[in-house]
Amino acid sequence: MKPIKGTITIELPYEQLEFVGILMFDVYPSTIVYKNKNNDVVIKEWVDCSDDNKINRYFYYSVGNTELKRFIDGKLSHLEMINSSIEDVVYFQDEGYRSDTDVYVVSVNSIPFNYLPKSDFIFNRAEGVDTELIINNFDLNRYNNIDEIIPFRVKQFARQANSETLYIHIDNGKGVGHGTIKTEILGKTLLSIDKLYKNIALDYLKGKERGDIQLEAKGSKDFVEYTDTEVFGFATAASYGFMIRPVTSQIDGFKNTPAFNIASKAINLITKSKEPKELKGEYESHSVSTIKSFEEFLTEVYKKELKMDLNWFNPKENVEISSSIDYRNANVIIEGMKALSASRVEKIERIGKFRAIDCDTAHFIFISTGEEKFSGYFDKNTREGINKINFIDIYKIAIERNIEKNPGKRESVSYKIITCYLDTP
Amino acid sequence: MYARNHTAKRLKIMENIKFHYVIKLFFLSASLIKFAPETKSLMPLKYQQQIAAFAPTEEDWKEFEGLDNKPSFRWVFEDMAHEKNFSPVYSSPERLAADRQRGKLTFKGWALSFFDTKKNAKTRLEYFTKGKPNLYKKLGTHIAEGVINSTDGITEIKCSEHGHFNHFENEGTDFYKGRFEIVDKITI
Repeated sequence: MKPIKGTITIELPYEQLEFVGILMFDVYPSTIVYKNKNNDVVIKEWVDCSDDNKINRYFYYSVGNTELKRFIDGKLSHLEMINSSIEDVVYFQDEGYRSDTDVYVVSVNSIPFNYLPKSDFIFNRAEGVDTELIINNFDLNRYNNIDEIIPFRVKQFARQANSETLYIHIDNGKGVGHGTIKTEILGKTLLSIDKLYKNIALDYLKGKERGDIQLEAKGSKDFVEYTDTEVFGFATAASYGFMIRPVTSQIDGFKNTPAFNIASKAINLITKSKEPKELKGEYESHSVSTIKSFEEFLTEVYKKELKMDLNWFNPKENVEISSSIDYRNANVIIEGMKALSASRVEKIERIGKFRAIDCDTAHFIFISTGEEKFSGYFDKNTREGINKINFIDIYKIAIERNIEKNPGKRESVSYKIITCYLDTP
Repeated sequence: MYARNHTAKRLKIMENIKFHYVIKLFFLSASLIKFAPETKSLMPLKYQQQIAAFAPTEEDWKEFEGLDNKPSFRWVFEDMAHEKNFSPVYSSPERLAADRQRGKLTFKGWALSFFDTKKNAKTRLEYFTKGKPNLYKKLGTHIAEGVINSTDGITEIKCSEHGHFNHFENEGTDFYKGRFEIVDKITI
């Protein structure tokens, strides 16, 4: 046994520990349940022994009744239960010496790897030893209907990081195993979610009438703090989950942070689109780019036969919103969108510079001051004099955007400049 | 049962009158020999004294029989001379203490654990080490195969759903004498 690295303390922090029962295993008592004087659950895990088998190493930790019940019900892996230690630490002690040894306090994140169960190790009730005794002792059947949408561990992780968190839990799908997921599927899923999030963020910042925005462009740097996210954790159980947060924390004491608004729009888009009555409304309330990225996300879910939950959690305000989607829902939405019939004309005014003009066809490319790119044709009435337009001066233009969606066909978007003036003071 | 109670009573009387120690031993041995047939074994069992303390009933012994040519698989350590390779469950002080604490001590704790197939033995060992990676230090690292006969002791007739069965060794049985050989191991 290697020495434990941790803070030394003289004794365990639990008063009047009383043995309740052995959770597992019948073959060797390795997860043992105790209670303290307040009737709180304290778990003792056997983890190692000396070569001569005479010294045994254990660690103790306390968990909530909910976590213990969820573990017994197979809804929380053994690893997740350990990670849900109320104190965020465990207390190591070696037994077998003549007198009590020191206790080492170790963070749950620093427990040696070989002292932890495999991430997909789920309690099997048939393997339990004193399961009923333990359930009755803590009256755990009271917690039968508790099925937390966002796992306790994820919330705890978000609180520790003080980050608004988008927790994406992939339940099922091609290449999704017990605590594993194929790299390609994880990568593609992440990219499609990221693209959807970015587009909704741009809608939030610039409005749904916005044009295409190249986030790599110099002028788009200001958007990055709202559009970019990062993966900062993962949680494995009988499936796979990962945690995403905005690259720049927006937690400022207000419930409706920009990140919250963006995430709730994304989550609502998924939830509402599943309802045929609401699909058209959702379709029309987002930009063309957002709808396109939503279609890409749905296609990914469908192709990989995924089933996933998307949960947003703000640890400071304790706000959570959730949605879920599977490949069947995705198919219904995709087919619903195909069958949609919609056309709308929007008038957009922008200031910026022309990047290209074809005097013969009257085709233009215009880049707004906000790095939006518009590409289309001059209206017949405004074509005269386009040969005088240069690429240095600033112009103020009015564009008519025509969105046409016919059943069974993809959406077509066209831009037409209806007024164009040199922007002068 | 009668013979055992009778002998115990005699022992108590003799203790009271402070009889010679050798005489006490004589009667104790006599009682064990008389008790042995109740276990369906022709010979006294290994750990007979510990087993007798539980006073197993005839009903308890109904689950056991002297079986011949029984293919058996057991978790062992690589060194076939390892002291734990053919030790009963209660040779583990932690297991003994736990069952005592739970009030669930059983005479079966003095039996050896076996499996009916190599696959069952390996699957179970891998299951436990998945939950506790170091548990191989207590349970074993390899699977050994051998054949058990009625001359070795009495064997649980029915296996558990995982293929596990208990075997009570006779006093003279020694599985260390090349009776088992390693056929597989688990990944550590």
